[in-house]
Formats: sequence, C-alpha cells, structure tokens
Amino acid sequence: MNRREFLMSSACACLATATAKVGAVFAQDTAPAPLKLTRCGTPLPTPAEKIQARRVVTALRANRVNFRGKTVIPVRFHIIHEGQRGYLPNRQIKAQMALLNRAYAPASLEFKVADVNLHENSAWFRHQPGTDEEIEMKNALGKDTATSLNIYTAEPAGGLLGYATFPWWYRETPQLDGVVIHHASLPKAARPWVEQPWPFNLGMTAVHEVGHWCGLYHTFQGGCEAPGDDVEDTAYEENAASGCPLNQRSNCPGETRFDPVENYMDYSDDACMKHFTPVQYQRIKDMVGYYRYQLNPLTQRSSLLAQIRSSIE
Amino acid sequence: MRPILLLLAGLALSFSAGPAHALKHLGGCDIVALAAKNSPVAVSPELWLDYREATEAALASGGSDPRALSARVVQAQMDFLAALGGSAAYQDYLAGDSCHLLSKLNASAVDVLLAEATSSMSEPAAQALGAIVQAARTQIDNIERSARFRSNRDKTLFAAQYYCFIAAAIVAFLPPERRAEIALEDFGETVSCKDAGRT
Repeated sequence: MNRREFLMSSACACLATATAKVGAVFAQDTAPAPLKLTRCGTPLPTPAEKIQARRVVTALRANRVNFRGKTVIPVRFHIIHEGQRGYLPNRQIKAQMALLNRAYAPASLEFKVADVNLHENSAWFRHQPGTDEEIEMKNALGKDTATSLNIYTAEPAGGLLGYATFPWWYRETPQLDGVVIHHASLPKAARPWVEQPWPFNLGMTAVHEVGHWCGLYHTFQGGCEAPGDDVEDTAYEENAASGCPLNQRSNCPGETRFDPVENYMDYSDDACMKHFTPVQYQRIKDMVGYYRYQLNPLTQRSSLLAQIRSSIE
Repeated sequence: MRPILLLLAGLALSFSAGPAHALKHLGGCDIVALAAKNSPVAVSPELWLDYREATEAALASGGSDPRALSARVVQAQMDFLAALGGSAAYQDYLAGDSCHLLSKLNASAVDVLLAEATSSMSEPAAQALGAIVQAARTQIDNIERSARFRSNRDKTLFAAQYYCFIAAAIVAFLPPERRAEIALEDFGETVSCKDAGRT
C-alpha cells in the first residue's frame, strides 16, 4: 500500500467507541464520553491527511486526553558536507539546540543531542527532496527514527531552506523520517557560505521544519480557504510572507487579523519569526503524543492511546 | 547486528537503483506551448510522432516504480527539445515574454485531459501514465506542504518542474488536432518565465 492509498484508507476509517483507564501521562477531567460509531461517507481524496489529523484531534478531545509531562527527544545530527562547505562546528549545533528548546518548551518537548556525525558526500550535500539521493542518504544514515529526531544538514538545491516529514508519514516510510535543513540556516556561523544577504541564518529553519515534524502546517496552508492550517488562532493567510511585513498584510475576505508573519510556520525572514500560538502548541502535543508515541515511554504504554489508534486507523 | 546491517544495505541498494531526478522537467511547459496552433516554433509532425512513440516506449518499458518510469519519460521530453535546441525561434521563445510556466495545477482539468490522453493508449501504458502523473502530484504536494523555501518565487519555480513534466507527459498522447487547441492555461495557472526566475 503506498502512502496515498494508506491515507485514503485512513480517511475512510470511522471513529469507534474508545474508553480506557487513564495513563499516567494524561489528564482526564471526567469519565470519557463514548463516541458514537459513525458511518463512513465517501472520503474526499484530498486532503485526506488533514481529515485524518482532525479525526485524531477529535478523538483525543472526546476521550479527554491531554498530554502532560515532558517528552525528551534525542536528536541525531547528520552533517553532510562537501569539503569545508557544510561543515558545522559544535558551537552552531549547541546554538541551534538552545533555540529549539526555547521554541518548543511550552509544548513540553526537550531536545537533547544524542549523536553528531560528519559525512562527506557531494551528491547528498546538493540533493533535492524526492530524489534517489535523499532516499539513499536517509537509508544510509537515519537511525532510531521512532525514538529520535534525525536532523540532516546539507545544501538542498532549488531555493530550499529545509523540508521535513509529517508524523503521520512515519508508519509508511519510517526510514525517511526526519528533518533536512540548509547548513547556512544554523545560527552563529563564523563565515558566510552562501550569497548575501542571507536573512535565514538565525536557526529558524530548524524550528520551522521541526514544526512540520510535529504535525504543524504552514500558516498559509489552504490560503484563505477554511480550515486553513487547522489552527484556530492563526489568521488566514493568502500566501507566504517574505521579509517581515508586520501589521501590513491581511488579504483574506472576512479576516480581521493581520497575517501571522511572526509565526515560525510562515516564510518570513528569521529575524521576524518569534512564536507559535497556544493552539499550535496544543496541536504539537497532540500530534507528537499520538503519532510519535514511541518517543515517550508513557504514551508508548498507554492502552487508551492504543485503543484510539485502533479505532480510527 | 549483522542481519540488520545486511538488511539496511539491501534497502539502500534497492532504493538507489532508480533515477536521480525523476518526475520533474521544467522544459515540459515548452513542449505544451510548442504544440499550440500559434506556436512560436514550427515543429514537424514527425518530431511529434517521435515524441509520442518515445514516451509510450518509456511507459511500456516495464517496472512498477513511477520514478524510474518518469525518468525515461523526462528523457523523451529532453530529446524532443534537444531536436529544437539550435532553433533560433526556440531560443527567442525562451528569452521572450511569451515563455510561461505552470505555477498551479488545476486538478480537475488535469484529470479530464489525462482521461482524454489515455483513451487512445494501451492499457499498461495508460496505467503507467496515470501512475507517474499521480506520483508527481503527490511528490510536489508533499514538498510544498513540508518545506521552507527562501521565497514564493523559489517555491513557484520548484513546483513548476513537476507541473510542466505532468503537462508534457499528457500532451504526448493527445491527437494532433486536439494538441493544437491546448494551451498551458488549460492545465492550470501560469507565470511568465521571467517572473518565475527561470534562467
């Protein structure tokens, strides 16, 4: 079954009753209200993933699941370089980790370096997503993708600063799981390796891509069309921002808020990116807790989560 | 430990057998533009026939990996354009204002055109065409949703590679009279090559 077929079949799965005892990692306010068994309609072929993610959130809320407690995520850095180009000193990795930890602390995620490996390989260094080079690189280097975050630094072509895998892709392609970021996007670089000006060198690409890895969409996902990025407290945004057009853009009909250009999930310059919203943090907790449950022993052991999973997948 | 290493090595080998750059080709948009009745470049009917045959042969070359199949289709597209490569009219087209790329695919329009194209194809080739079109759409959709680009312009140019590949693959199988009616806009929204930053 390919990814698409998987998603289609997942989208057609119906919610079933799911009750169980509360795991230590969850808070459950009252007894869970049993879900009604619903009958499947014909699923829309797209965007099946969004539908499925929404089902997950609905099921978690219906079962009063709230992920609490810290999840510590081991991070495996794979530094792909071409001679000196792409080589990253420890100072930059530490600065990047500090930034990730600051950005994700409100979601109770903590990142810890587990591994840093250097690999000299020109083809991997200049790869593009979806090519053999990406697959080859990740098959050769990716490690413990269920229980850690693999970060590859390289110089992807085509104006790409980075790309990531969504948590719901893990089941079908676990070996491809992880985040790829441009080596010149990490903070505290001693020398510029890329064309100047380069307003993407403060480490926000990793924050952005890890956001995808945790299940967040771009703030401009879907443009002005509901449900946008599936996060209620980010304004609808017609298209990606560039630079830092703070309090300047709001092109969607009926949208009274300005575009969320300071959000980590937009395309603004690094210096402009400042925050996630509370609902984004909630979504991160939900998506990581549900799809990346193996990161945390408590979510891994939870019978309630297992029941919810079996009911909607 | 050893069996795990062998398994990983096997996986790596099985994945590395395919093409390096599959499912995308910016020049595909030129092929669609050159098919139009008011094409800026005269293309002989024989070249169109060669293109169709080469694309069909690529699709029929076997294997179920859409990426490997698509690499052969891209080669057929490149061969077609290479045959025009020296043409001053083609170079003028590339440098001029009429050169356009697809910036957004109209999914339902593509489905209709794909159905039209496959209606005159052998079943295996039709299935293969459907598979590579779907694979390209899925691929760029996934990339667009999970990537950060330096700018919208970079994103547009990146996505155009996939959209143009799709359009040219479909156009290969439209009958000549129908092909002449088709414009790039029939596949979706377009952007000028200059605005997209095509070099």
